[in-house]
Amino acid sequence: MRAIARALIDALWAGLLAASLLFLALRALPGDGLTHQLIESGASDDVIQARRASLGLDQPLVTQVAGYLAGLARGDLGVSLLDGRPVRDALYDALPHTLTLAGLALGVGLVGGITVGTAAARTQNAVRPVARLAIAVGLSAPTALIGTLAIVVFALWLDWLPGSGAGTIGHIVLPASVLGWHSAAAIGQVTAAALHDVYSAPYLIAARGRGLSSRRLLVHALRACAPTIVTATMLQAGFLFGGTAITEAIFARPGVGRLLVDAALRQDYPMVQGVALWCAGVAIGAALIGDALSASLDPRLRDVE
Amino acid sequence: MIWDRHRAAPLIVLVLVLLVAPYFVGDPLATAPLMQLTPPGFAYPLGSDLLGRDMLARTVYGGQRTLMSAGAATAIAVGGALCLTGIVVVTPPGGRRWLRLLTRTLLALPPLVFGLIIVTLTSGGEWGVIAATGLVHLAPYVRVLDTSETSARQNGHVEAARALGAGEWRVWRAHLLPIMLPTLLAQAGVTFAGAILTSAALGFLGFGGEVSAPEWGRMLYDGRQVLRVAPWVPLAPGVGITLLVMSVNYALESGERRVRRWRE
Repeated sequence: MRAIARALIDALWAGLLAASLLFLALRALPGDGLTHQLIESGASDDVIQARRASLGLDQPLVTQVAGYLAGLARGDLGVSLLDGRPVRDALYDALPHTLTLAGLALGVGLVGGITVGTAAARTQNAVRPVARLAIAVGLSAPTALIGTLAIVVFALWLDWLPGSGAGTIGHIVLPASVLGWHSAAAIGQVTAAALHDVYSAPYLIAARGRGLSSRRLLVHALRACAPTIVTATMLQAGFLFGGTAITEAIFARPGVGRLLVDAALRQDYPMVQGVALWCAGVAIGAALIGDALSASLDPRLRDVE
Repeated sequence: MIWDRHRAAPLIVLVLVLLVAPYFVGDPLATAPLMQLTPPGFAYPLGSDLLGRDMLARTVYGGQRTLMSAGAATAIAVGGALCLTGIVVVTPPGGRRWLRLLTRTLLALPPLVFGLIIVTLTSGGEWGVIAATGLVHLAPYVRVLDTSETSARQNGHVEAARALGAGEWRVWRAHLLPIMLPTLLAQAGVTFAGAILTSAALGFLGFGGEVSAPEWGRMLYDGRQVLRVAPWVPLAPGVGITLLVMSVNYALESGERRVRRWRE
């Protein structure tokens, strides 16, 4: 219990620090996006001053940070500089799309990763080099290329699935597979390395000596690798649920990643800040869950007190 | 085969080709409106894009640019991490805790999200992307440095040196660094591979330099527009990125084996 409490407090600290750093970094730099935009549109000094005052940009920096953190505690992320839309509403609208895509991709990644990792570590025949190549390519190829190829092959040539947009079940198959492949490669690499280590551990040699079938051995070994696989999976979850800018761009899907890219391109600071904070929160939360799961799977990781 | 024994060979060959080839290809910016979207053939070995620009020339120049910017970003990440750790080593012990907290916080942000924030701050541009890529890979490097330092400190000779009165800086430079060096070099390679992917991703999303510049990420984006009629346009830069990153990873495996053999 104490270990969990300590981890929670650590996570809260990291979250608070992330929020303050993000705010300071985006606000402390000379020339905010709003002023820049108003000057370009030819607004008078009075208008600019009034607009800055209404957004609280003329306050001292410390007051601004305190105000932002206080708003955060109430669940208020500020408003977009461009259209005055609350950042929270924009996030709420984008979240369902990202959550479905990330959840499916994570499922593909976990199943595919364990399969391909096991194949890369344990098979003897021609499967092994194929599995290793799949991992190497998955880790090296940019998502933009894999996504593009997937659209060319499955949407344009074979015409099996729609290549862009969102809505039906068919729309999510390609993006989820493309994203999932990348996660599968990452999880597969970790799985293969962990299996490799476990198979030379004395208890597994002993188990083999007792005459266990290779299938039973694999179950044993995978059980021992579970904490490692869980940690790798939660790391991927942190990345995926934080929005998947590239995939959403390729497949023209709405979502958190898209929101962030659009905001960054237009220098909409509060929006960038809000989305980034969501990403940081998800990643911290996923790591926390991963630690808790690993501890429950591996007695050695539990705090002995 | 040669690439089994010399695992760095593919990387070396690829880098040499990318460095020399620009002298043998045409102008990557020259447009030829009549020759737009020509399939790969005799005139254009890798085809041409929507403006009739030679994809081979663009891919080669883009590769050179990728090598330079990924190299610069790696230098920022490695140099920054060494500087931060150096500062922590010579300052009172509280500094290390802060560095760890900062690293943890930065690691909480997905790489691309963090990169997009930095790019927003620097308002794009080629150097904005390089700075963003470097800073994205800074925190992971600091963490590896920190972990390997902690384990290197457990060696007896480090304790002996300290007992003999060696200062923190002396211990770090003369006793810890030589032990950590293989890990640090390998991690620099990992950083380089990551930097190639990050800068390409940022380019693909529309950040970094002028629109017409031959940049692999940007070319992937351009290719998306003409996918239906000219799949070779996104293919050339995409395969370039994949091969480069794969050859870096492949070379790293050989380094890893050599270190393992050396330790045994």
